[in-house]
Amino acid sequence: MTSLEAYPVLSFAVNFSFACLTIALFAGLYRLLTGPSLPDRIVVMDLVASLVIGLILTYIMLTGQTVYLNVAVAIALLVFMGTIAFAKYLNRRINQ
Amino acid sequence: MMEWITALLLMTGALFMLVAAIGVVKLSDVYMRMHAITKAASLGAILMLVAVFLWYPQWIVGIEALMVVLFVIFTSPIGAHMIARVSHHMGVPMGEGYVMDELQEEKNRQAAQSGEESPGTSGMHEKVDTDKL
Repeated sequence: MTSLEAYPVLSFAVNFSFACLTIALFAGLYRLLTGPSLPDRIVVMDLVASLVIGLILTYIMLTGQTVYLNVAVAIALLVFMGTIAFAKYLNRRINQ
Repeated sequence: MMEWITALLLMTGALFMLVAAIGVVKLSDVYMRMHAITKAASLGAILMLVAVFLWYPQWIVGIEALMVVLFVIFTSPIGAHMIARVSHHMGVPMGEGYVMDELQEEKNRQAAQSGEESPGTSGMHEKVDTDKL
């Protein structure tokens, strides 16, 4: 909003990306609420992490604060840990 | 010129993520949904990272974008593999149209081998048990 006023094409692209990612988040929310099994919801968690990385990158384009790339690195690490933890937990619950 | 390239990469990445979310909603099965998010969402994130690096060409941005790209490329197939394996063990039902299921064949073969006494005739049981699919 502040650093993109001189670039109308990029400003439109940022708005378009925000719109697409918001619609994608609502689609993921629908599958999270109506997912028939637990692995469906874990898949949605993975998708939402990718969407949040995309939102952070679009916000970097909007504001010019490249410090927020650290957040993208941390989320990319944490969601892998979360997926592996869910898989281990479900595997242990099956074996019991 | 750089503005147009960056805008195109950013919009393409966002559209790939939207396609991944539509695939999660529309596809009929856990395994197909996993197929949708593993490729499309990773490609969207990579394209948007390239856009950010093209618009802010500093070396620290490049290093962090490369780190995120490597994490996504290496961890997304591993996570999808583990979730698919666990959901197969849980017995999540498959939809229509699957051609082959090698993990189920392996399970049938191991069950046949543990159930019989003499291990010399396991080849016949292998052929018999694949008919159960």
